[in-house]
Amino acid sequence: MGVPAGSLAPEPAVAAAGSWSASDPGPHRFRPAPRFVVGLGIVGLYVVLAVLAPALAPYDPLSQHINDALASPSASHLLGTDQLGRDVLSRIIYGARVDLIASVAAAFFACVVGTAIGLVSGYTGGWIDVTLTRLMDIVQTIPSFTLLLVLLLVLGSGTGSLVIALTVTHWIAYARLIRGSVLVLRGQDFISAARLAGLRAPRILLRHVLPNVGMQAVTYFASNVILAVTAIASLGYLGIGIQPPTPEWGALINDGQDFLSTNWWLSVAPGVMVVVLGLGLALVSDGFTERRRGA
Amino acid sequence: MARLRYVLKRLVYLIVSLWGVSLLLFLILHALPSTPGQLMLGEGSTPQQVAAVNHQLGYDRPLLQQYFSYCGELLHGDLGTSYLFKRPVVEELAVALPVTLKLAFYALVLDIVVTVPLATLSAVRRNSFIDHAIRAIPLVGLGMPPFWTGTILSVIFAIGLKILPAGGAGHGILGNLESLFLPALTQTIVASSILIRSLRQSIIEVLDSDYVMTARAKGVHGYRLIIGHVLPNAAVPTLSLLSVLFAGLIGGVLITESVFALPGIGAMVVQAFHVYDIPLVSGITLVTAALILVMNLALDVLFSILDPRVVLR
Repeated sequence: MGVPAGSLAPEPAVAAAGSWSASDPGPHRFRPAPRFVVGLGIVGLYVVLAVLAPALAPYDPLSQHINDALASPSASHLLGTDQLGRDVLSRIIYGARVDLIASVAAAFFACVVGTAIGLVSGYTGGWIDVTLTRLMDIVQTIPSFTLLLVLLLVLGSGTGSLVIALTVTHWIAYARLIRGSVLVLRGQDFISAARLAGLRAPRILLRHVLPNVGMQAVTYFASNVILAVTAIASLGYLGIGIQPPTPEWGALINDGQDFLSTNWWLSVAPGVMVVVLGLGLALVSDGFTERRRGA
Repeated sequence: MARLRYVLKRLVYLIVSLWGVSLLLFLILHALPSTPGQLMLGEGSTPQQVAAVNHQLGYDRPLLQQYFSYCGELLHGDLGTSYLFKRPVVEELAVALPVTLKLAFYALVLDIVVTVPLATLSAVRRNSFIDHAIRAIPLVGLGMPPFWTGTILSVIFAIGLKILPAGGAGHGILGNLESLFLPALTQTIVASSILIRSLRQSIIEVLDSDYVMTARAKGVHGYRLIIGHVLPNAAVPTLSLLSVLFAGLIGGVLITESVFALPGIGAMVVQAFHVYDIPLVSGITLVTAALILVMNLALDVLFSILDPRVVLR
């Protein structure tokens, strides 16, 4: 969340070291770079954790054993227990469900809304475009953190509200990306041909424009999930959004903060989960960007 | 003359944008179905209690009337009265904002101090081990949420090594510099990730340009070449990125404040959020947006002075 949405967008100006096109034997062979595979592996691992959480977690993430509170890591509790005697490893594993699902959902809705608005804005032009662009300018002026707080104030807490609030703050990056590409496409012959053939705007947008610009949004998606995860965890840390006792990584970090000098792993372990997920998504995102550049 | 006209034009744009932000905030906070009475009293409240709170806060008036009184207050520089502190929001901000500004400025300076040498090294020693190591920083840095980075830094430097304070803003300039170092560094780890990438790329482009070849042919090399010839030109694209980054920086600073218990507007907005202090939350939001708009204007003007090729529009 410390990063403005736009700055994580794929930057065409950044040179790729060893891009795929250089090592590709054929012009259209898809041979992913090792870094991309590693990234995909990391993200895949998190998906497995989220899906199989009940099978993988050794304990119920919510069951408390006060007699066992703040136990150090041992064979029975690999990451020890928290101040209420809950198994930390189980809470972290269930956290993958909470954080991953909420952030992917938020990024997905932002992608759909942003792409739709970007298509309409770029293709129709005129006052609709001006109004939508001004709206984007205004929303982007507000730091996403305070905008999220204002929205959550009105929407209330809970995962659903959080997903809506994140969608409202994150759609703009997609809209700007797509709008920019549509402006370039709009003047091209095949679009004029489609219009002359009598196709209506929705059909042109969905069948002819979207397939050409859609990859832009997909490429940005992984970066957006990073932003959403850090936003959710930051808010959880501050006690906002997803409420206790739900095992959310940011909230786990905050829970452990009172015991930093004795049980530092309580805060460090869930943080490592966030950072490694970020790393995996960054590698995937880089892979997509280079793939697009190479193609 | 052209610059003066440009600045005036941008000032008008700034005011219009600020009005847009205030309208958006008003619509979110006043036009949506949930009222402050419902929010503050929770589920166990009777409709009469909710209505009483709404009446007391003026939320039962027609929307248009609410909007006009909101605008009237804004034009008088009145951001309302904080429910939490029972004092005008403006007075609360006057106390808390300097802390946030100090931290933001400190972080910005630290960003530059960290970014310029690393990006230069990375660009000059292109494709070396050092270049690859520096370019790996964004991969990790971007995914590190500031609140966690801050926690780790305070575990290492404040609790482990005991060389820096873990919280508070400190007193005096030296006290500020010492106490705000970890919070500023927290912010820099994220921000420099983006800046290094951009500056490295522009340095590489400038290094390959003809005028640098000319300078080299004349015998200019080493630090004199980089500082005197390459960096002034290479810095321009990164400076323009800085204005985008500033919004993120402010957002990050707001969160970092809570980690280090700093009495700035970031910690205040979280406190206000938890007690549904709508005037304080919306006041802080408006002020941060204004801050970003002013900073962007200042950077753009600076940008036009630094680079004569920039066309003022």
